[in-house]
Amino acid sequence: MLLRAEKISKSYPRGGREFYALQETDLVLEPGKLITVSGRSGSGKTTLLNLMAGLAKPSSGSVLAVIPTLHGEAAAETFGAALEALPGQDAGYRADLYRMDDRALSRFRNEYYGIIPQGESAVAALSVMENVMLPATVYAGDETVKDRAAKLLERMGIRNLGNAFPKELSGGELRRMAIARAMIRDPQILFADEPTSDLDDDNRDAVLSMLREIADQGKAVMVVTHEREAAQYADLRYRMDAGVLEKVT
Amino acid sequence: MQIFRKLPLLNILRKPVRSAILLCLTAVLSFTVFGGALMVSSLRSGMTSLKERLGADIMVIPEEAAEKKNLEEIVLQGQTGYFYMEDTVTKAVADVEGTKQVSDQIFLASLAASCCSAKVQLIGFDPETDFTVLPWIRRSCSGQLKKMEVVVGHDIVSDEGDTLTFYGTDCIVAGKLTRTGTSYDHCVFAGADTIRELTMSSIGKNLNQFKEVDPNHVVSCVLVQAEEGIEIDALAERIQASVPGVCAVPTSGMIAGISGNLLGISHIVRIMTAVILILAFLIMMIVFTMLINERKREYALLRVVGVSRVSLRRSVMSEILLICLAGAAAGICAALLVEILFAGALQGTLDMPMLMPGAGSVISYMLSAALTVVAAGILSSFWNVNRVSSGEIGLALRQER
Ligand SMILES: Nc1ncnc2c1ncn2[C@@H]1O[C@H](COP(=O)(O)OP(=O)(O)OP(=O)(O)O)[C@@H](O)[C@H]1O
Ligand SMILES: [Mg+2]
Repeated sequence: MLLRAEKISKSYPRGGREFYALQETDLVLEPGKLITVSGRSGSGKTTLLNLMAGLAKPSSGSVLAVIPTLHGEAAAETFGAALEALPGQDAGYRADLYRMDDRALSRFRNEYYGIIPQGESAVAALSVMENVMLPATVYAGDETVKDRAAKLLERMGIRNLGNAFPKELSGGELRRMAIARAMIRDPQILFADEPTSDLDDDNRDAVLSMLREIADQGKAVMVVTHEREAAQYADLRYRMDAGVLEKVT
Repeated sequence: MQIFRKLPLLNILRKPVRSAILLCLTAVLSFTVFGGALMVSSLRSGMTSLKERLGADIMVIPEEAAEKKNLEEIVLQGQTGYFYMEDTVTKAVADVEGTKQVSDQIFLASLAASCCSAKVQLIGFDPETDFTVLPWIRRSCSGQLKKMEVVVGHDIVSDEGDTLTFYGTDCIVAGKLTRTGTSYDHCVFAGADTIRELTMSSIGKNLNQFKEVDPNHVVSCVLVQAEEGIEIDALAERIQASVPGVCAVPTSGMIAGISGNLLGISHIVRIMTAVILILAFLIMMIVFTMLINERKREYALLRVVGVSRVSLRRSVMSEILLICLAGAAAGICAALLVEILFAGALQGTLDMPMLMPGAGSVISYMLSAALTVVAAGILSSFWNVNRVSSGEIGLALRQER
C-alpha cells in the first residue's frame, strides 16, 4: 500500500492568530521504503506523523491511500463509500482518509497501520502480552494471535515480561512493548514516533534494524527520530524545521 | 481472545480498590432509594392495616383508664390495656342516639406457657355484634368460631389445630390471622362464650383485677360505629354525658395524628433520599470525570489501534454500567438485610405500625432503585464519555505522556 499526502497542513489558533504547526507539505510513503524525519523539538514532526496516520485532521489537503488489493469482502464493505476504484485493470483502489467516516477510518487504522506513538502508551489494566495482542482483538480475533504475540515479545527481548503489567516495566521495556503491539497485525504501513528514545545503544540498533527489516519485507515505514544512527537505515531522509519539511540530500 | 471486549471487566477487576470505592458509592445510592421507598411504603401499609383493624369510630373505655398514654397504645399500637367495667355500659351506649352498631370487647392478660414466653393478650369479642374482628378473621381463615376455639395473631407460635392452655383451660387454635404490623399480631382472639369461660378460670389465678365488677358481667371497652352523617365528636360527647363513668374517644383524631406523623416521616425520608440522590450524583460526576480524565491517554491509544468512537463509548459506558449494576445490587441486598434484621427495632423506635409491602411492590422498588443508580451513572458520565471519545486522537495523545 502506498500513502500519498497532498498539500497537507495543520494550523492551531494561538494568541488569536493561526499558527501553522505544519506548512503545506507533500509526502509519499512507499512500500519497501523507510523514511526518517528529524528536526528540533516543536518543529512539527509529530503533527505530520499524526496527519499521515489518520489521528488528526489536516487543516487543508488530503491523505490518500492506494490499495492494490482488498483483503476479503469485509474490507470493501467497511471502506465502501470512501473507496474509489482506480482506472485500469487491477489498478487497485484509492481512499481519501479524511473522507472516511470514523468507523471506516478506525477499521482502516486497525487493518493497515501499525502506530508507535511518542512517549509511553499502555493500557494499565492489561498485561504486556494482552497489550500486544490488543489490536488483533478489536475486531475479529483469531487463534494465532497468542503465538505471534509471544514471538514478537521474544524478538523484542521482553518475553519474560509477558505476564507483567505496564506499571512494572521500565521506559525502554514499555517502548519495546509498544513496538511489538504495532506489529501484531502485520501492518502495511508502520509509523514510529521516536521509537528509540528510551533505549540503550544495543536496543536502539536492534529496533532500527528491525524497522529496516520490515521495510525490506515490502512495508512502508515512517520514523520520527533524533538519532544520527538512524540515517544508515533510511532510504529517504527528511528534516523538519518550523513546520517546513525538507528532503536531506 | 476477546481482550478488547473484556476490557471493561478487566478494568474493574484489576483495580480492586478503585472499583470498591465506586461500588460503595453506587451502593449507598441504591440503599437509600430502595430502603427509603421500602420504609415509606411499610409505614403506609402498617397504617392502612391499623385503620382496617380499628374500624370503629368511637371507643368507650372506663374513665380511670383514659390516660393519654393508654389511649394511644390502644389505638395506635393496637395494644390492649387491662381495665374493666359493667356490661350494662354496652346497652347504655347502644341507646344513645346516633350509634349504628355497638360491640364490646374484653381484654385479659394471660401467662400462656405453651405458646409464648411473654404475656399473651386475650381479646374477647361478641360475635353477635362484632364489626371489627370478624371481618378480619373471615379474611384470614374460614369458618365460624365454635366454643373453646380461638384465633391467634400472626406472631403467636401456634398453628391451626394446636391446643393452647389459658388458666388451665384448653383452647383449640382454629386459625391464624394475617400480619398487621401492630400489637394485634401478639393477641389471641376468642368469642364471647369462650372468653366468659376463661374469665371464670382466671379468677383463681389473680392475674386480672376485676375489683368490684362482677366477672360474669365485665367488659373492657365498647366499640361504636356511628350512623351515616353523624358528627363523631358530638356523638362521643353525647355518650360521655349520658353514660356515667366512661370516657368516649373518637379514634379518627388519633388516626389523623398518626397520619400526620406518617406524612412527616415520609417527607423526611423523601427529602433525605433526594438530598442523597443529588449528592451521590454530584460525587459520581466528579469521580467519573476523574476516572475518565485519568485515562484519556489510554482511550486515545485504543483509538490509535483502531477502536472506533462508538466502540470506545460503548466500552467506557459498559464499565460504568457494570459498576452501577453491581453497586445497585449490593445496596439493595444491604437494604433488604437491614429491613429484615432491624424492622422490629425500627418499628419500636418510630412507635408506628410497619408492614412490609407485598413481593410485587418490593420487586418494583428494587427495579426502580437499580434504574435510578444506572440512570445516575449514565447521566453523570455521559458528557465526559462523549468528550473523550469524540476528541481528536492526536490531541489526546499529546497529554501527560
Ligand atoms: N493542540 C495544539 N494547540 C496549539 N499548538 C499546538 C497543538 N499541538 C501542537 N502544537 C504546536 O505545534 C508545534 C509542533 O508540535 P509537534 O508535537 O508536532 O512537535 P514535534 O516536532 O513532534 O516536537 P517533539 O520533538 O518535542 O515531539 C509545537 O510548537 C506545538 O506547540
Ligand atoms: Mg513529537
